[in-house]
Amino acid sequence: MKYGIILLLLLLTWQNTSFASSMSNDTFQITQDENAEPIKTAAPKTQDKKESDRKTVFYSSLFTIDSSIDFIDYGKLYPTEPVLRNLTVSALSEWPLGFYVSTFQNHSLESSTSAIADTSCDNGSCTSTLASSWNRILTYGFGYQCKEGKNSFCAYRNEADDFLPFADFSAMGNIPLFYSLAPKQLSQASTILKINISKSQSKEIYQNNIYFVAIPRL
Amino acid sequence: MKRTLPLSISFLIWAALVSQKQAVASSFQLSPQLVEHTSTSDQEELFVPFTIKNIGNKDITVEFFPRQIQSQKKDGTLLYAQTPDDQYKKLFDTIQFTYDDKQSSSITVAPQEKKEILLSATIPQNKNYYFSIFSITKANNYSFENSHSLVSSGLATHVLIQSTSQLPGSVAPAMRIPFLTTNNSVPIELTLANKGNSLIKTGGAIRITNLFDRQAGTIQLDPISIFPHSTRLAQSPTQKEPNALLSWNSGTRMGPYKATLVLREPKTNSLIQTTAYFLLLPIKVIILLTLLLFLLFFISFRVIKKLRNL
Repeated sequence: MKYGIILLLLLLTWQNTSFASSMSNDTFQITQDENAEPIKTAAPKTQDKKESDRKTVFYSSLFTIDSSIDFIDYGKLYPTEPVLRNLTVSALSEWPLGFYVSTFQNHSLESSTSAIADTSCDNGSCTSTLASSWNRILTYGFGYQCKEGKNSFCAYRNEADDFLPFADFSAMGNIPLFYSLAPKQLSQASTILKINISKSQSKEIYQNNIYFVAIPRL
Repeated sequence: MKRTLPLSISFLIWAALVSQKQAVASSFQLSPQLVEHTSTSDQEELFVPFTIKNIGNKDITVEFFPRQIQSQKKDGTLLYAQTPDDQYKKLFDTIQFTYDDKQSSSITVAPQEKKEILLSATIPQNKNYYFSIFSITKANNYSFENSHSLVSSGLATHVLIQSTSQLPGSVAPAMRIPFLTTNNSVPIELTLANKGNSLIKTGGAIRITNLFDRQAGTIQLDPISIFPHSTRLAQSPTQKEPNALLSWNSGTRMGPYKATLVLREPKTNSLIQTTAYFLLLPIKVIILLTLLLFLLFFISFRVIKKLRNL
């Protein structure tokens, strides 16, 4: 009986094995056996490698970004009546390592005399790198949430009521909005923007600029 | 009069529609994505031609912003310095963009038009410089009666200047595998640290072998760039999800296994190895084996009983 168990274990560990194996240093290829495919070299994968001269090498492939709209009109703002707006950002890259889309704003929503503060969410804990629930009518501010679309993965928690404030201009490139999940295929995510103002907020026109930048991963 | 009335109404409707602000998509292409330059002396010139194609339906004006790369996060995203340090400031001050033999800090591209703008810079010292050029569309200047946000989109190009005077750093790998795995997916946490002052580019594979040193599988690693003083998490080519660990599908295998990481060491251009051991005990296989053993035991018990009765 004991020998039977040992024999069974040995049989299970023996399965799917190959025999000869060798390693090479010059080309960085590891050969397993005669029939097996050699492990590919670790050289960077590039689509179109051009050498302009001996010193500078350019790596180019298809890389596009598209925002569904170039402005967001929030309409007239009324106290404790949250406004939600939606925009879609799409990006396509043939870069083999994928990319991420970063977002930021030049400043908070500002008028000539006052500003709508960036949201800190219901429990006051959300930051530009940490999303948190925001559904109370008496929580004021300006923020956004990410909704995953085609081949995308939102960088922060994105449950139904989760929002976070935009990072400022100095954080350009540092705050990812979403990651592409499939190289060479269109990646798409929606951004839902939310404003809720208090009764004390002056009735003015508030404006800012928000940015979406696709950055290749290295 | 009767004929002209509907015409004038149509014209008024058309004029009203045209005068409205219409939110339009802005869309463009950019190349290159990566520029690698080997610097050999101080005050060396760098030239990078950027090609921008407007694939949207309205004119776009693209502006350029250089950003110093400070380090790299675990998930492969970059950490940019809020303000460039003195060395980078000197470099950025020399950056000029030229279009049509004229210096320009931005470029306007019509729908379906393709334009090339040349970046030129002087590398102040024969050192390593890592930065990105952000090409960002300038927001349109509409007049609004309501609160609003203008939307700009952009693409980044990485420029990596490696000096011949600086030796490549060495890579410090750390591979962690849970000792006991009870399902058929073995998670492998592989972190690669660069403690040097130069960017490291490396690649390799993890070879899984059984008790008898026979190969049971391999995991190919993406070529990885690790910026100075950064630690990267290695990911497989099919897992682009940030922070997702490498994994090995062990199928129905069980028993002790060994994972050997073979990595190219950039400093010496040799191969380095690190190993981790783990035990596979898939619950499903164990249940099946137990049932099988019980069945064997039961049958043998019955057979022995019958033989004794004979």
